[in-house]
Amino acid sequence: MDRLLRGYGAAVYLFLFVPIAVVVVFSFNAGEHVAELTGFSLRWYVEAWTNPFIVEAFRTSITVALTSATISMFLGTAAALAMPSAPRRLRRTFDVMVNTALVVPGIVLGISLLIFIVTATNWLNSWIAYLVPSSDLRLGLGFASLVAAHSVFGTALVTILVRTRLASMDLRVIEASADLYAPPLRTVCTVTLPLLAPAIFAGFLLAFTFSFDDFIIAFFTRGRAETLPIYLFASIRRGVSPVVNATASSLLAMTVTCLAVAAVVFWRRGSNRTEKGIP
Amino acid sequence: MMADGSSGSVEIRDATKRFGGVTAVDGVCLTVRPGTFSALLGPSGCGKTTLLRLVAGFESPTRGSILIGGEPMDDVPSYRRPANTVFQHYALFPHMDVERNVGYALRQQRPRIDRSEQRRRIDEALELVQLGGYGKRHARELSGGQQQRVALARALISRPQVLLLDEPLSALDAKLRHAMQLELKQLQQQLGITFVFVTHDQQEAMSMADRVAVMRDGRILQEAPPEHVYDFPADTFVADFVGTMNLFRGRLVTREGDTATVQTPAGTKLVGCALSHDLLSPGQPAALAVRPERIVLSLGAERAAGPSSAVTALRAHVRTRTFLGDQVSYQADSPDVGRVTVLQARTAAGTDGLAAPGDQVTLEWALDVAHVIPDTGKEAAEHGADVGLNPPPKESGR
Repeated sequence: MDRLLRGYGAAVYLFLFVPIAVVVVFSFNAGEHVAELTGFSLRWYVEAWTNPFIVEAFRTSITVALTSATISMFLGTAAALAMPSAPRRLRRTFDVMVNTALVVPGIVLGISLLIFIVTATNWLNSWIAYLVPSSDLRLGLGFASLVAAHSVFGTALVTILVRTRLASMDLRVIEASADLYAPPLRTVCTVTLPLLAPAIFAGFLLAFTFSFDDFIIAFFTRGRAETLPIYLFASIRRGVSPVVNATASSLLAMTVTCLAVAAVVFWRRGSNRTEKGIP
Repeated sequence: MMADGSSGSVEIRDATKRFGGVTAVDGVCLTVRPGTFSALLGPSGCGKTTLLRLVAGFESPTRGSILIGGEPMDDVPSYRRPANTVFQHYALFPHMDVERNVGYALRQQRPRIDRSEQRRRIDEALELVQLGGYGKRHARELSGGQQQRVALARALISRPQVLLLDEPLSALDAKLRHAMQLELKQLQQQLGITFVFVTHDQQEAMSMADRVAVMRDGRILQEAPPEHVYDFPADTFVADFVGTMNLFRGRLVTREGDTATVQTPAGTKLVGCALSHDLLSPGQPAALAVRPERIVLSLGAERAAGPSSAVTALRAHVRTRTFLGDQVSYQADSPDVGRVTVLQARTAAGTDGLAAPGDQVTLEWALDVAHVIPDTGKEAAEHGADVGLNPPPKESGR
């Protein structure tokens, strides 16, 4: 029975990872054709990273990811810090909403964000046209809307991570700080934030990774901005080339690195540093 | 800061604290004189920690007010109160070393204190708690007792008017706890700072405090020097919570001045001193309380003190005898009052002259060591089993 279960587990992992492994293996393939292995080569990586379109999409992706992760970090941390002192009902509602943002299918989030952003920008545009008739400024989908959309999801991520850390923290250190004459803002700076730093940093990395990888929400809200996943999707329609393999593998490497760093920071450093004062 | 006589005093005026529907502190009045060591004693959930948190400013009272050093603290946040706290699990800052933990309060002061002065005072505080040279260690590298000392040094470094201690010794093992009790007491006398100490351990409260306030259900039942609390407990709850006590429960029959009579369910009438003002109406639940070490146990039916109206004598037979080193403890059953605990000093080696299980004995006590007190019903939850409870005697004992 045990061996059967273990075999089943192995099969699941194979099923999950073989397709990914294939992409990675073929990205190092020397041959022109995706279907046959002919030897080891880095030529497709060189080709990918000298392709101006790919480099430009990569730059857009990084910018969007950094911006939205930064926004998420600030909003999420602030929300997590404010929540414990909010009235119970508000806190419950907020918790439900934050969790919902994480579990709602990407396509639903994408469509609803698209509708929201289009409606909001239309409304704003009509006001701009009314107030400043000479201006030809028109808000629309693009870099900013993409950042905003990713920040929604990222903020939820950061909020949950920081709240988890805050809940496992010995809150008496915050009282101790107040007791030892530190006014509230200084307590936040010298005690609360340093103790939450691992969770905040891990949240930042997760929000970054999410944004960097995301296709679905970006697909709906990007306007004309082109991120790396969007570029890959477009180029696949012209046929799967080894360049796509190399690009996808690069993306994978980056994502895995970020996630690994986030996990280490959150679990190891985090739990060590915020342990209660008991040995 | 202040030189007047009220500096270091704590005054709690009719303080009540409710959390939702739960009343944690219920109309408490308490005055702590400057430079004294006070203990708030009671079982868990009696509101003692909440009361301390009201003084520290972590909670604000639903009603009533707190004064420290004669100043009302109503609108004073915890970071401006001249009181510092030692927390139950120390609450050291885990991201700072010992030195930075201890110096935390100094770094908050404006105008800033210069580095060398900070250093000097940190070293001084560490010396005070015998942790000189530990400054660079990290809090989590220290043992429980050492962390405790760091927490003490951290709270004492700015010489507060009042030091609040929330069960600071509960996480230490017994031996270390006793050592720390002595040390705390010495420290308090050396510094002259007012200590308010919360504990559920009556031995701890008795051995350290100048005054003990026994709490239950958010109220203070008795506030007095430890000897007084031990010798003259206010009611059955205090009597049972503090030390070991024989409680013979029944109803009040008469009260004449300083003496009162209680009748047990078995019909026995017992006479004792009565100090309580709450003991007036005949028929109200009352108990006669006698400390085990105040009872004289003698073999056979003869009375050691001779017949006298100032002495109560009961016949009983010994059920168990427990050897305690310097003392011997007996459990005896009396047909009149039920189970009685007796503590006898051991004056000779061996078991000569001691009663053995099954022996018939006479139990005697003087009128002035027996107290008639109001019976408040519920017993101290944590206590109970081995202490002073009197199950009805077995029918076979009659």
